Parts: sequence; C-alpha cells; structure tokens
Amino acid sequence: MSADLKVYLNSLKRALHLDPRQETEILREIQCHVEDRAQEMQDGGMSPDDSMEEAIRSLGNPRDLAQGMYASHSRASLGDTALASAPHVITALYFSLHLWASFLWVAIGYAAILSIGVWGWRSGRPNWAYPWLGYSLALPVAVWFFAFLALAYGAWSLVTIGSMPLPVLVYLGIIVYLPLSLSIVSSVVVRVIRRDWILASLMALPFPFIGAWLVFLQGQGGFPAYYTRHFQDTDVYTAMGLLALAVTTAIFCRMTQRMLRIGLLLIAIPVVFALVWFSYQSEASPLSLVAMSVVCLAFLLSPYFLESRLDYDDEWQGAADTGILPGERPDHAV
Amino acid sequence: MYRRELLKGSTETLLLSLLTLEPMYGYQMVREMEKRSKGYFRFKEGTLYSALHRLEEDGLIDGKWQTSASGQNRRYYYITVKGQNFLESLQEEWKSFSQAANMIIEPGIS
Repeated sequence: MSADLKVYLNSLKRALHLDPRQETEILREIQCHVEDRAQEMQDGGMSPDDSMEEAIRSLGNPRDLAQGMYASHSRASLGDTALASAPHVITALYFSLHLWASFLWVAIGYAAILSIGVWGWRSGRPNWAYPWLGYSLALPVAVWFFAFLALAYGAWSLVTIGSMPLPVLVYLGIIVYLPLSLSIVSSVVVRVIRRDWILASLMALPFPFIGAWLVFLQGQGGFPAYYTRHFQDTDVYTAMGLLALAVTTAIFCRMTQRMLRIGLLLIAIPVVFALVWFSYQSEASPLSLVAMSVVCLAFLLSPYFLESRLDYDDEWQGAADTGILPGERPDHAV
Repeated sequence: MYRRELLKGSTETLLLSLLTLEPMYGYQMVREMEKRSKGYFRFKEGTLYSALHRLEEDGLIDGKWQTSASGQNRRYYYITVKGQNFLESLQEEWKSFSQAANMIIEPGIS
C-alpha cells in the first residue's frame, strides 16, 4: 500500500468513531476503491504516484467521508435505544421506591446490571452497552470513596489514639482492593476512550450524580441517615435526575450527527446535574450551582483530553515502528 | 449548484435503479453512472459510499465481499426485495413529479 493511501486511511480511521469491525470493512472498501481508480488512471498513462494522488483526492476530505459514514451507521434502533436508557430507568426506580435501603435489592439490581454490562462488553460492545457498563463501574468507584474515608480515619485514629477503629484485615483488604479495582476500571475506560471518547462520556453519565448523592449522604451522617424521612424525600429529585439521563441517552442514540450528540451531552447533563444538586442543597448560591455545572462539564470532557493523550502516545509509538514522525506526511499527500 | 441539489434528491433512486441491472461495487457504480448518463452525473465519490452504507443500514441493499473475475476482492452491492419495492414507489413518485413539472415548465409540449 502506498504511503499516501496509508496516511489517508489512517486519517479516515481516526475520524470514523465506529465499531472496530465496521471500521475495518469501510477502510478495506475505500482502499479497494482508491486502488481501482489509480490502476485505471495508470492504464491511461498516468504515473503511479500521480494516479494515486488523484484517486485519493477524488474521495475528498477524510473527515467529510467519516462524517457521512458516522451518520449512516450511528443511529440506534428503537430496541437498542430502549436498552441503552434502561439502566437509568431502573436506577431511578430504586430511588423512587427507596430500594437503596435494602442490601438484598441493591445486590440483585447490581448483579443484573453487571451481567448485562459484561454481556454487552463481550458481544462486541454495541452502543447500548455503555450505560450498563457505566453503572457496573459505579459500584467499585463508589467503594473507593468509602475506602479512602476508612483509610484516612484509620490513619488519623492510629496517630491520635494509637489504635484503629476497624480490624487490620479490613485495612489490608482495602489496600489490595484499591490498586486491583483501579487497574480494572482504568483498563475498561481506556479501551472505551480508544473507541470513541463520547461513548466514554455516555458511560460516565451517572458518576457525577452518584458522587453528589454520596457526598450529600456523607454530609447528612452516612448510611444511617438514609433511613430518615427527610433524606428519603430527596430521592424523588435524584430519580427525576436519572430519568432525565434516560431521556438524554435515548435522544443521543437516535441522533446521527456527532456534533449534535456532543452538544447534547455537554449542555443537558451539567444543567440537570445543577438542578439535582440544588434539590440537595436548596441554600446553594447561583455561583455554586454554576461551579457544579462546570465541574460536571469538565468531568464529561475528560475522556476527550484522555483520547488526545492516547492518540499522542500512539503517534509516537507508530513513529518508533515506522520511522515517520507524527504529523509528517509525504509531500503529495492530501 | 442546481444540478447538485437535483442529484442530492435523486441519489437513492439512481443507486437503486443501477443495482437492478446487476450487483456492482462502489467504483463500478461511479463509472457506470457516468457512462449511462453520458457524463452528466458525476458522483462525489466520498458521498457515494455514505449513501450506499445508509441504504444498506435501511435494508434496501446488501453488501457482500466477493472475488471478481480479475481476482480482486471487492464489496458488491445487491438490491434487496425491500429495496425493489421501495424503488418502485420512488419511480412512481418520480414519474408523477416529472409529468407535473413538465406541465408547468413546458406547457406547450404537455
């Protein structure tokens, strides 16, 4: 394959953001097209380099081609849309029925969500699987919050009164759990970001809401406070916030334009998050609500920055393999 | 500009009509379209593939990798039954539209 064609296909691949199997098919088809066209021009007397350059130019900008392909392939069916929104609806039900108070219900719900998330992951990671994966990762991440609190409190107690409030085995368990769960979560997140950062953001939608709920819960005195009526009254607002996530996810799945999808997530979710936070902290100032929205926005954008970082690392790895520096193209490349 | 707009609105009809002749691969369709329209229709090639993949997603055509007589592996597109039924409705619509348009554009002839 010519260097020009490699550069073109590489640019196309980066802009496609589709299922890897679909991407491979598309790249192969475009490669065949360019080679056919170039061969025909060579048969007409054009030089190999010129014919390849002309054949590539006739396809147009790889970003435009990728945009068209994305629009053709990205709209989810109604069934997949419903499936993608389902974990938000289920979690909203847990809040509206106050089922969080029951360990058994939480265990059943989490086992179901984890099973569907793992099944989606193992069967080619269709777009509907990402919200399920998000909730699957939410529990290990939420446990970090309590693990760090336990470690900090344990260390403080050890320094001040010379003993730890929990058995040593618990602390050892936490020390083993943290790096292990971190490596699993980060490996999943990196693989999703490599596919498309916006899918990682879709996966991460519940995190700000669960995080805010945990902070609120902790502020009210921890899990024992959950059984008080006052705390349970806020569940309806959490449930409404999660239903808003379900609606946003459904709209996201039915959209075909990538920029509209990005706009939807980055505008709707921070606003919903600020409203849910306001329901927890009704005395919150407008400035603090804006600050919370900005934090949520930054969190949802973080996969984009991680993707740029991963691309940068890949380019330099590619440079080590091929000897072509990142950004360097043959003189006559499109 | 006007021609581009007309072509944009007729892309599905043209591609499906072409595939009723025989299964074709992308580049073959570009050449065939130019040849049959005596150079009038020149597809922007990137747009062609987006349109083909959209038709395939809608179940109107089906793409299969096959080895051609020259030994090259290419993705051939076939029109499906759903595509044929859809094309018939498009052709009906096109006939009605062109007759109505002609009655206004060329009143003397119609």
